[in-house]
Amino acid sequence: MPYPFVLPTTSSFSFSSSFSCESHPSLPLNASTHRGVVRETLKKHKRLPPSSQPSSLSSVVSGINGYLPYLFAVDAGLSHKAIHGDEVNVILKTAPAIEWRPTISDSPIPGKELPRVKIQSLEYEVFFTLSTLASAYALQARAALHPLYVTSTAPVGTQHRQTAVAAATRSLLDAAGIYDYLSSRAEGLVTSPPCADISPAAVRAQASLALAEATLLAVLKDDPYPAVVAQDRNANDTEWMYKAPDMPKVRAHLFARLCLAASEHATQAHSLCAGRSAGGRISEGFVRYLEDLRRTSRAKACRFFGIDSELGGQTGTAIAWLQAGLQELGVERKESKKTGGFGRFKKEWAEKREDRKVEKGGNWGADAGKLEETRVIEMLETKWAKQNDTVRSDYRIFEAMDT
Amino acid sequence: MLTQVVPPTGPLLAQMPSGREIHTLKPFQPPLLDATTLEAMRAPPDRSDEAGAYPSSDEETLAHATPVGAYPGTQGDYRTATPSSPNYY
Repeated sequence: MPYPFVLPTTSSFSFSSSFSCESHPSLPLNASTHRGVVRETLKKHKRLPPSSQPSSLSSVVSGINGYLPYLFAVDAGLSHKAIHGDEVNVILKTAPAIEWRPTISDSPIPGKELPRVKIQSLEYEVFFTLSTLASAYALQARAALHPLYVTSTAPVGTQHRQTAVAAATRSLLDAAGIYDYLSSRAEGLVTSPPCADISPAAVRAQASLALAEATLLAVLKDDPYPAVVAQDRNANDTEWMYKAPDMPKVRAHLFARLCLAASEHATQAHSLCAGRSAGGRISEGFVRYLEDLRRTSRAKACRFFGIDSELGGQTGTAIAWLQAGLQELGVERKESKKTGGFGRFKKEWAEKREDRKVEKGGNWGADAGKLEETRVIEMLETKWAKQNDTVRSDYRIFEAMDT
Repeated sequence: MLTQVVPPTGPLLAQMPSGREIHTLKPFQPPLLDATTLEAMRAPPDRSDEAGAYPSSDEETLAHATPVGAYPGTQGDYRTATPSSPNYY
């Protein structure tokens, strides 16, 4: 489930105050008008309660898509490029003064909203506008996936699940494409970025992140196990009564390799964002999410290698893969089989809390799916360990009978 | 069938294959104005560009508006308390 991005807000800006266009005198005014729409939708979005924010995403997206052609026309005009063979001539009168509020930069005062940054070139307006669009796409992907994680209502059907995952994948790939475009655009820049949000490293990391999430969705689409652990906590679910999860062996191995690809992208994103880059630090929460996503993807890969081994009759190796998965997740090994006491209580509490978050629609899934993957692996580990132990005791009985 | 020994995890992790990609990135194409819209903008602007005249902050419009009927400058006294608050009285 994609990162719970916050959309930025921006100051108003009159293009005519900084730009004039001799060939198309109405261009600056029209650009201002469309920018005004973007500013309004972002402002409205910010003021909505978290549960109603998803419904305003489409107006944010269409607002930005309406503004982009004008923004790119001014941009083309500044370098005297032609649009449809028609040369556009834009002259810079004074440096523009536009403010944007960063959202993934590190806050100097924890818990407090970041101060706005002033940008003085149209180039960074392009960066902020496009990265806002990409964040909105990622949030649309979240909104599409949300029904799959609610445990208080009946689980969604296979058809609905496939459509939701397909829509979310499209949104994430669109986001990745935008960041990829921005990162190639950033190569030509000589100025240092005004804040970490739109630094070259952050932009490249965002492209890798969106690609990692989209890759994981290809697995989620046909992964029956998260649903099995969700059934435990969903009173409306009756599917477990007639259906046990199964998976073709070839698919298990393929899924493992897809998860590894996702983890490679997440690793790249993490290494770009950890530490100090041009434009300042990136928020700790975002960096932690990247690290969690890397771990979750690796653990998923281990689980699928485990499923692959188990299907091949190698229960011992399968259990070892699950243990490797738990190591990747940073879960402490419980030495005794007894699951009781405070640890269990703490885990149940964390699960309940996450379920409630999903319910309310706020920043659920901010752990990059770590909790869910832990549940899946522990469920399989208990099951396979029991199988393995049962075989042994049977064998011992036969041994006793022989003597 | 015998009980299988659980091997150590280190060698398993060391022999993991490489990742496999499933998606290819579709490059983003900056959207262009259509020819008619562009042509129409050859006309001089029909009004002045006053976007900059609006308040520039996204918060300042959130500031307490003067309640209806209040004496100017006393809006701070009209702030509503939460009815359920135990400190209400």
